[in-house]
Parts: sequence; C-alpha cells; structure tokens
Amino acid sequence: MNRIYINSKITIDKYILRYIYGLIPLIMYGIYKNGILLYNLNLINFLEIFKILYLLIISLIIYTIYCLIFKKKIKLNLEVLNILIIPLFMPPSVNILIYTITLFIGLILNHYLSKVLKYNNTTFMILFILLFLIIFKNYNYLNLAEATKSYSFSFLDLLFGRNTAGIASSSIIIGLLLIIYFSIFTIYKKEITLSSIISFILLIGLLNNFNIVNILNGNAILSLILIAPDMLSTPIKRNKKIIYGIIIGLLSAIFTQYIDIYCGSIISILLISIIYNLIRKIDKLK
Amino acid sequence: MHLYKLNTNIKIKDNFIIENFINPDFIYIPYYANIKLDNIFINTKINNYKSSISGKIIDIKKGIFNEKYQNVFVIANDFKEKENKKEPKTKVNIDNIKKVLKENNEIKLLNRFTNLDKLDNIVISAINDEINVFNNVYLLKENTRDLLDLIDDLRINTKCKNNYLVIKNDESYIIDECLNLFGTYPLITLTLVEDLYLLGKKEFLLDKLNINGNTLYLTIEELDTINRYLKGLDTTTKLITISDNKTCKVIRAKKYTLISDLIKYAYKDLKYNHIIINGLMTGYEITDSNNYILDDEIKSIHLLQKIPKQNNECINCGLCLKVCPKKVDMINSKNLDKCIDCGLCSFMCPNLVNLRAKIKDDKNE
Repeated sequence: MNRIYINSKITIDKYILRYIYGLIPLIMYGIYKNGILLYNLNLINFLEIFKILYLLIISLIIYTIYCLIFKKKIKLNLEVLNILIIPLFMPPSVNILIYTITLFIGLILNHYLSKVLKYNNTTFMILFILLFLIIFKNYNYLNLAEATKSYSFSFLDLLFGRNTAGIASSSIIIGLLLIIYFSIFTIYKKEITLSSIISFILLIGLLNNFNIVNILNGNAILSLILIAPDMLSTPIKRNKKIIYGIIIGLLSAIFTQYIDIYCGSIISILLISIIYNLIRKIDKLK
Repeated sequence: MHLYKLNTNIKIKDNFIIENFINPDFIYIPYYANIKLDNIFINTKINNYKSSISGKIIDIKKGIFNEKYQNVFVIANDFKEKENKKEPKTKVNIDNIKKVLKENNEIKLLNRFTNLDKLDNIVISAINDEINVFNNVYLLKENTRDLLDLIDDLRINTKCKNNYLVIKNDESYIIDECLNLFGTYPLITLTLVEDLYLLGKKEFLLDKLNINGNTLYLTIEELDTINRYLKGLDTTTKLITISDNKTCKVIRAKKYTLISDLIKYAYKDLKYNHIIINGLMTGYEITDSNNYILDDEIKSIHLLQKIPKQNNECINCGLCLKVCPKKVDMINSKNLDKCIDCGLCSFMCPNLVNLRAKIKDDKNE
C-alpha cells in the first residue's frame, strides 16, 4: 500500500495546543482589564472578574454536548479552536445565558450550513451571538468603567489595549507578538494576517486622516490575526492568500468605518470567505 | 529549491558495529527451469542469480522474491563455503569496469559509464535519504581506503578535475575517518552537506552543491559493488539496516535468506507488529516475512509496534504544496506527472492525510 510510516512531530492537535497557549496572554489581559480593574473600582463583584473564563468553560461544555448529539469524537481539532476564540470577541457585558443558548443554536445551525458551503465558522457564530445580543438589547462593547466615564487614551494606551473592544480582544501589542509566535508554526497563514492588517491600517488611516484611535482598533486587528487566517475557508497558495488578505483588510476598513466599529472586520471576514468559497465551488463544478 | 530536515520522534544512536549474518541454514533462489545440480558452490549461477552459500537444493517452495510470489529453490547450507573458482583481480580502468558490470548484469550501473568523454565532475554520495538507514556510511567506514583508492583511480582514468565525496555533516565518525586519509588523496574534495531529506537523490544533491556539466554520480553502495567486482571480493553478502523504534543494527547478511531469519537474528526477543521494507518514507509493509526473501532491492527493515493513524480530511493548510520539491499541486491534482513519490507531503501533513496514495489514485484516474 502506498503510504508512509512516520509523520512529522507537528500534528494538528499539537498545533492547536500551541495556538491555545498563545491565547493565554490575551485572556489574562482580558481578566485584568475587564475584571480586576473594574473590581478595584467596585463596579463588579469578585466572581465577575473571571467572566472570560466562564465563557470559555461554557463554550467547551456546549461543544461537548454538540459532539455528543452529532456523535463526533471529542478531540483537539480546529472546531475546538474556533470555539475558544469566540468568547474573546464577546462584549464585556455579554449576558451569559444569552451567550450559552445562542452559541448552542449557532453551533447546530453552523453544522448544517457548513455542509452546504465552506465559510469562516468562527465569524458566523460570533455574528450569530451578536445578533441575538442586539435583539435582547445586550449589545454594548463598553465595559462598566467605560460606560460611566470618558477616557482620553494615548498611543501607548491604545497599543496596550486600554480602549474599548471585546472581553479579551483589546491588546494590540499582544496581538502583534502573537503574529510572531504563530509564524513559528508553518501552517499559520501569516500572509493573510499581514496583508489584511497592512491594507486595513492604510485604508482606515486614509478615511480618518490617520487618526490613531481608528487605526488601533483592538477588535478589528485581533480578528485579522486570530480569525481571518482560518484554515478551512481560506486559500492555500501564497499569492491568493495575499490577495485574500488585502480584500479582507480593505473591506474591514470600510465596514468598520460605515457599519460597526467593533464587528465590521468580522462581517467582512465572513463575507469574503463566503464569496471565495462560492467562487471555488463554481470553479470546481466547471 | 528548498529542502527539509525530517524532524521525527525517532532518534537512534548507532553504535557503528557491523554484525554478520553469513551462515544461514537455507537460502532461496527463484525457480524458472528445472535445474539438476548435485553440489552448489558459492557463486554458482542458478537462473541468473549467484548462490550465496554452498550446499544442496533440497526443495521447491513458494516464496516472495522482488515483491512477487513465485516458486523458489530451497538450498541447504553445508557451511563449507566451497567456491568453484576465485574471481581474478582486475586492473582499474573504465573498460574493465564496464566489462565486469556487463558480466554481472548490472545494466543500470553500466549505463552510468556510457558518456564519460569530457567528464566535468565525479560525485560520490554517502547519503542515505531514508530515516535511520545507514548502509552508505557504514560501507564507507568499512572500506574507506579501498573506496577512496577507487575514486582516485576513477579520477585518473577519466581525467576529471572536480571530484567530490559527499557526506552528511552530522556523521562525525566517518568524517574523522575520511579526514585521516584525505592527505593521500589531495584531488578528492570532502564535501559536507546538511542532513536534509532528498539529498540522497542525484538531482537534488547536484542542485544543492551547484554542480553543473557532465557528471558521473555514484552512491557508496554502487562504488562498493564496482570495487568488489574489480577486486574479486565477496559479492554474496549485502549490508542491510534493521531498526526498531530505539535501536538500529547494520548487518552484513547473505543474499537470498529469509527476512524472518534475519529479523530473528537481529532482534530475537523484540515484539513488533509491522515490518516495513526500504524505509519509513517510501517503503512498504510486508505481512508474510516467513516467505519474504532478501533480494538485491531490499536495503532496510524497520520493525514497528504501531504505525501512524491516517485521516482523509484535508484541513486546507497548504503545507503539502509548500514542502513539495517538485511543486506538485496534489490538492487540485495538478502537475501530478512531476511527482517523484518522495512522501514528503504525507510526512508533513499535520492532519495525517495519505497524500501519497491520493496522488497515485488521481494519476490512475
């Protein structure tokens, strides 16, 4: 039989594990910014400090139930990674009950939809949850401190993530360090990340006279780092990856400017992934 | 062309001792015509194959030779190592090399010596591509002086100016050995290369070393074969690497013995479930080792307790395209003709997809 009897050390489960290690600093910073700081201001109680951890645990439990329903093997795969990325982009004030229910429904819906067409699953589920948060009037990316006070941030404040963003998706400096860390793994599609970030910064800068507040948008930049280079729904050839990244970056800038500052890039990633995979499907049918 | 080092969990420390398995009870040679021979001597020709022992034909049975089930003579060893006539020593020159290769039916090797006019380079490679296969370096270590002499003779006969002996740079034991002797051969260049997969193939090695022009390329195994024919040395044995997950043995074994006998000799008490022939990257698994005969094509045996699981689900990471030295697009089934079946795509695939089989299936379609 034509096969090989040895494999490289880097298998997908090891890659995912290393990727998850990379998310730890973001989660820690999320606990600090949307937990400890708010607790020190007496805006939340002690248990609420670890809200991001609850969301992560809930995500894993929901995923386990989903696997049991659809008789899937529970193992470290790309689905687990997607599930762990979702909570990072949730608003700090997210209602845990709404999150739990919508994540569960979103997973089931995604299960059937992804059979019809490939697309970026993470963005679909994030947007699905955000849609319900809007319906239940729980869509607000300001944390309790930001909602009660107005802040004037310096360049470094914005870079380190003190501005408004998802519960653990505000620190751009950690995001930039993550690009370096992820680039060690040969399968991370860094071309998509880099080209999308550069094109996003250039266009959003041009649209806003290079105003640093618009450029250093934590949710947008971290979604380009963590969500845009999704494995399953993106191109594999270098040139295509760069073009794909540029289009996402440009569309992210437009959507961030004109639709929503927090989830504009997530909408653009979903849209481009749908269009790309539709083109691919049509191309294959030909 | 970017080549890759194969990072694996298997790390074998070789002790650099060649063991001998030269007294098998039986050997097995393909049966084509009914031959009546009372006594068989070493090197007696039986259907184009030279007997590697002296003894008697005692039976005909089914065996697997060159990957095919066929009838084979069973020859019982009399352990007397009787030889009909000793092969005479031949002077080293190109004509004699061609002559002995022709006599011994080494057509592939003979073809290498067809166009030696205005030879620009002689490249002798001691590189084994497959993981944990050490035949070439052990052979070089065993016969360093003889092989260097032969390279020097080739250089003189062909008047070639660029002569390279290529060794992997992590094989320090053989590098030391060569450096001790190299003063005697000032016109042979010892070239050290990184331990990269596929450098054992001519095309990739010459590209890496940036060697152009008319080149005579030989591996140490091929050079050793020529040396043995020219000097009338023993050609009834061959080197074979046998390894498990932790250890490795290089064994000089009599040709045409049973694989199972060889394994029993090398690893008597080892428990294994899989026998892989000719390397973990491009080799194949055998199930019937009790009937499998050590032919000229078998170079290594790997004994594994378990083999990696396989998956069919491509995760679209594109690593296979990135590592393919021939730029084959196995995902979209493009450029499949260029595939050299090196197995690198399957090796690198993080989701353990058997791309080697996929390419073959797509080619057949």
